[in-house]
Amino acid sequence: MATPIAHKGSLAGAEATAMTLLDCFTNPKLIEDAKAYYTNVQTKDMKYIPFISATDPPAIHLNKEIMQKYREEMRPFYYQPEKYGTYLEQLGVTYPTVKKP
Amino acid sequence: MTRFGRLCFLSFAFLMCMPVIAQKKYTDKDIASMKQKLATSVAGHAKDVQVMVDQIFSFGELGFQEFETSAYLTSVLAKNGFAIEKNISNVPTAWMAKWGSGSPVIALGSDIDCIPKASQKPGVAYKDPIVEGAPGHGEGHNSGQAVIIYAAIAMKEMMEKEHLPGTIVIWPGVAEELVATKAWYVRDGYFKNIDACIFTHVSGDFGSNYGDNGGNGLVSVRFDFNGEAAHAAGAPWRGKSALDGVELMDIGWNFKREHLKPTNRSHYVVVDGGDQPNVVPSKASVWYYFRERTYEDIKANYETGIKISEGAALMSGTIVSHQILGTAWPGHFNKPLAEAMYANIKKVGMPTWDDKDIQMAKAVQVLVEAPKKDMEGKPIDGLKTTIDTLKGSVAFSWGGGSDDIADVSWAVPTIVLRFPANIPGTKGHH
Repeated sequence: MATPIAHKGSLAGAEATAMTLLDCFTNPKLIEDAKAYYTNVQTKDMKYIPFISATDPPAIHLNKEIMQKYREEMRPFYYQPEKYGTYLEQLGVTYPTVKKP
Repeated sequence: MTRFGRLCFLSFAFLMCMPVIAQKKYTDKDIASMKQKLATSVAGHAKDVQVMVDQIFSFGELGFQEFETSAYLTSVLAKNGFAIEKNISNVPTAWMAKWGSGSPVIALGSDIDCIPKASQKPGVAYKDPIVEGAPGHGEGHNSGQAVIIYAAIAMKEMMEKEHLPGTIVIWPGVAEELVATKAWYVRDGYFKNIDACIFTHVSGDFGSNYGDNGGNGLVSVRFDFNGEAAHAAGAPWRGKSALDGVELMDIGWNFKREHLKPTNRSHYVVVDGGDQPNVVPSKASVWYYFRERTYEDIKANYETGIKISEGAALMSGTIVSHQILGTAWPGHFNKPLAEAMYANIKKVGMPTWDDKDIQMAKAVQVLVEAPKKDMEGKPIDGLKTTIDTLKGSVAFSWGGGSDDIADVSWAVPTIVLRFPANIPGTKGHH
């Protein structure tokens, strides 16, 4: 989604995240409490046992062919922020378009 | 004590005091005013947020193929003074960006991959792909990095001004749709020296929970059957069909399904079913997700799946092997951090939606036949305007989706911020 809904919601999320970062960097008790919860509540009776082994490789081959198939077709539609205010503008979409022409 | 000795002692004593001096005490009033400044600073990046959200949307890259996205993000971060370590866990599109020094070390993460066949013009309610058949950000992972990066940049500026010690780490969830990297980052020690992790994910609401959120964990496994090719009409008796192995495995699993707990979610796709009908397939593969609510149940179902694959191989005279492609634990999120985040969410409040936003949301909800009410019985109608309550562990869950942020949650205290950049009532992956 690259709509004003996404832009506004992301900005609100960024504000809340920045404020929580401030809490983490100015209030040592928050980090202490977070660690105490992790140790005394979360992992008190539950230990993490990974499903992957020490040698399982990440499956980086996945999606390679699909992406190769479409990338060149998609490239002309990459957003050009230096030319267009928004991606909607670049694609010539009137926001919102709710009915098929 | 000699003069030199005294000097050394005094210098040492002074250095010992340094952390105390650096860890300045702030009053509640100071913090409130600093938060206000941060909000203003983030709002000053509104244009940057829009550009990043739109840019990543337009790249529309599938898991493990996020090359344009990662090059773009790391270049933005490098320009802002972050040191970048690329190729973490041997994943070419993964990286970790660091700024600052000393503790605490706070990690910020968000996913960057998209889903197949979801190419779609933004702002259009009905299906209208940009490139027919191409991948696209139907899941909304194009917005999370802007959330953390512009939060980090605003915080960094304040830390520089206030001489606040601490380190900010930014990392991407590569291939989240395949739940295929975060357990690897954890295994390879990338969260070892981190004190806390704030993860962000797009949502129709604005919130952060703690405890067990009711989701399932999973293992993602591909089963590869190997048989013997033969002319399917000329000498079928000389062939051993790997596709038979796959089909028998699927039949076996679907019979087993009756005897699994209702919290089980398991699904598969045949990724290789052979080449053409007149050749008995010598190779065939089926890809399963085994999801359950607990580690023990996931493990049990995974082991049953392996046994069924071996039974299918025996019946079809083929050989089977399996490879794990992804995994996620059931998550558990941190209470003190969620409480801190929730207080801040309330300070920020829901965005102001205008008529166009609401019109767009309602049109999408009609077209996707969104339910009238959510799982809690609250109405789904347009965009949310209020913030939900802070919730702890669920008492009961029928099970549901998975996210490998859960594996990080077992390595360091972690929370997930759900930010309201999506339309409520959609199907998640469309």
